[in-house]
Amino acid sequence: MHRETEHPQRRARRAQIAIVTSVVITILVLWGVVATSSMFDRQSAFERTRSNASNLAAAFSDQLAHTLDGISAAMDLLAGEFRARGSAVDLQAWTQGVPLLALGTIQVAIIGPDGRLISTSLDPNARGLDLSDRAHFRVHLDGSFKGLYVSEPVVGRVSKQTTLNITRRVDAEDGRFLGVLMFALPPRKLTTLLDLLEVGDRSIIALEGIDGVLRARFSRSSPDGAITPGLRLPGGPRLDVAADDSHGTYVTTSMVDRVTRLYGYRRVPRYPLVATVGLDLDEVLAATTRRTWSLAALTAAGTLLLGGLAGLLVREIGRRAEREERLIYSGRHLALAQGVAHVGSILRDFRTGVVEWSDGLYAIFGIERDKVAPSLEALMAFVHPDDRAAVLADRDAAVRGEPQKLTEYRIVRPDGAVRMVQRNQCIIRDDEYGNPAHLLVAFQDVTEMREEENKRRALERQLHHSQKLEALGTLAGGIAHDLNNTLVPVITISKLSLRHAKPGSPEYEDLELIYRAGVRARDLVKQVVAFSRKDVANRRLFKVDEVLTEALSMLRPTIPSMIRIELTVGPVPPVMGDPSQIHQVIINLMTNAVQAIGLKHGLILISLEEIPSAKAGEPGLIRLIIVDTGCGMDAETQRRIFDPFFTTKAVGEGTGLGLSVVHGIVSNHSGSVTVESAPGYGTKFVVDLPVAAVDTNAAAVDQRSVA
Amino acid sequence: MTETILVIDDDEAVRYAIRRAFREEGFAVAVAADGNQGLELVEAVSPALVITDLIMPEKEGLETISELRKRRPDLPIIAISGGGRLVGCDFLDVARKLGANEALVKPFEPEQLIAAANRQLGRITSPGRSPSSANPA
Repeated sequence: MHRETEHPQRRARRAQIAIVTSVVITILVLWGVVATSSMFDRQSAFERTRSNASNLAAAFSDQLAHTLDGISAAMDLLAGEFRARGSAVDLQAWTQGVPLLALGTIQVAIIGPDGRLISTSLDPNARGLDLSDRAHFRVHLDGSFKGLYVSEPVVGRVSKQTTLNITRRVDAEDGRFLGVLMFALPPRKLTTLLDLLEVGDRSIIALEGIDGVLRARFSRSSPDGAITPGLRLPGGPRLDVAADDSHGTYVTTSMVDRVTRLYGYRRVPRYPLVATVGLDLDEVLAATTRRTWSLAALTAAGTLLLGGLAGLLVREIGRRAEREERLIYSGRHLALAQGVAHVGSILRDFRTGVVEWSDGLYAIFGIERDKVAPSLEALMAFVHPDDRAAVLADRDAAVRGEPQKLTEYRIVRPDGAVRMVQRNQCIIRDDEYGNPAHLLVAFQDVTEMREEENKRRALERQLHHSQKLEALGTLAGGIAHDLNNTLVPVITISKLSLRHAKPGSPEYEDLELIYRAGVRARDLVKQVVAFSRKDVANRRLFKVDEVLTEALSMLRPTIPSMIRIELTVGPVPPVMGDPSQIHQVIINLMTNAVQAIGLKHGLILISLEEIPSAKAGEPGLIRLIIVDTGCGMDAETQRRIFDPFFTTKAVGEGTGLGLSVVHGIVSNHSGSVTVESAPGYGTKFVVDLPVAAVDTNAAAVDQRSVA
Repeated sequence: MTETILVIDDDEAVRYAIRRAFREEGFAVAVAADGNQGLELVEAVSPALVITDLIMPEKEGLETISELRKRRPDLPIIAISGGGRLVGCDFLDVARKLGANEALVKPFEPEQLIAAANRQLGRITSPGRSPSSANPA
């Protein structure tokens, strides 16, 4: 969970940028392909059109040449006739024998050298009509023009129709100018090809002279080919049409109708004409444009779709990264919280059987995650052997759906440390039927908590105890003062009166009884005061072995002879305190031992030795042990033995203060006193006093027996 | 001449017992129930020795001792006490420091008190202890 090397949101940002970049590139490439393909499409459509125009111009040119060849042959015949018969030529008759109509000719005429009409096939009365102003006549006057001339479209003065007049000069054999032959054709006749062609409405077929002047211009909108005289095609005339096979293509926009056309032209062989076909480029390219537009529309739709998808993807990636980040964050949060709270958990999936242990659990077990794989067996290996059955029972109870109770087990770490864990578990039901899906077991390491609780309880007990002792001490101090005053007359007067009483007399006995009672009362008060004293009044350095010897010599006369005392005294350093109080401690413990043995044979072992400190440089302890072979005591008695006024003796036999005084004095000397005993096995008291922090001189172990 | 011993104690039974002990020894005994009475009697009877309790109503024993010491620097004083009402405070030590020549814990044997009085009056009756050694102050 913590091993990811990269921030999920940074990773997501990079993926988002990559997606956006690739989508933008894809869209750009797509549009590029569309543009290129449209360009090629347009280019190939253009080339096709160019080739069409060129082919059409060639076909037109061929047709014209063919037509003019026919007219030229007819003219050759007519020229012979004219030369032979002169002005007597009867064209109406002549035209009967020649299939002129097949050539599309509507009128055949002969113009004399003076420009006056000699004969026409249409109207015999038109003879003498002056045509000398016509260009198709005038062009032949000087004899420099050879061949057929094709005029601009003109309205015939005879035919009253717009015609193209094809003329040729006829010379006599001696070279004299005889006249001009004229064949008049409606322009339409030259362009029958147009009907056969599938050209657009705005496409045109035009016939130009090599002088660049239009002879005819046809389109579906003007099928008769009529034009304004002297009109030139835009872009014409061509400079390169001098050669007989001149041909080519060009593009230009008409000044008249503003239509851009692709023109194919070809010189009509042998005639001063150029056949031109102009195809409407817009119309030709319209299909290409339509294809381009639909392709663009398709691409635009694709762009939108791709962009939309990319947007969705980018947003989803962002959301996922955010979720992943939240997941990582909450995972860390959980791990931290578990660590701080000393909590670990197990999650078991009932459907897959997968078991997961949290980091916190590994921490409680004191192992690395990669050392142990989670399993029930692995878990049980950590549970203290005595607690395993309880763990299994709780687990089964949870699976059965029984209400859970907090239970505590011991966990044994690999290093042997025993931890107390509190276990709680719950079943997680997450399907609609409420079947158990997961088992969550939470462990809390409560070792320190329990230790603290135990310490606190001990402290509370101790505090309670010392408060009790203090209260008793205050009470005892007050009572002691008054009792001591009260005892002054009892002791003094009984003692003084004894002087005057006769020994052995009843009065003497009575007075002695009173005196002894007073002394006993005095001793009792002394004990109470000693118990209640909190300070060590006369602190000084002293040696416990010396106090022990003094106390034993004082006690010796009072100890029954059946009790043997064995003493072992080692070299001991001095302690700081009140020797008279320690004296009291020894007296009290010895009295207790003697009384425990009673009037029987017994043994009291006393030892005194130094216990050096485990830490170098720190003062050690002086240990006084007093063991008796007396009646011993049970645990309950041992627990209360240092309580004031607790006594096992009959009323009047003991004060119940002796051992509590011992406890008080030893505590005031910063020492401790403990008891070990069992009924019938005697009792052992151990008193530890701290050694004063000064150098001491050692003394030899002194073992002696005091009877 | 019979020497007079002044006993100051609020407990009548104590006064009686001490008076009886000293009368048997041949002393004259004057008694007072508190420090004020005691100081008056010092003027009246000129005692050779004062024995005073420490905890008393009206005038405290410790106060009495320090006042007596001011008035009669040479008058021997023996302080007696049944111990402090307050734990952890040794009044007898304080009494010694304030000028009591000797201090005795109640209840004492009559012989102990008489011996102490004799020591203070310069009558050596029991061997061993010298007045100076018992008077560290």
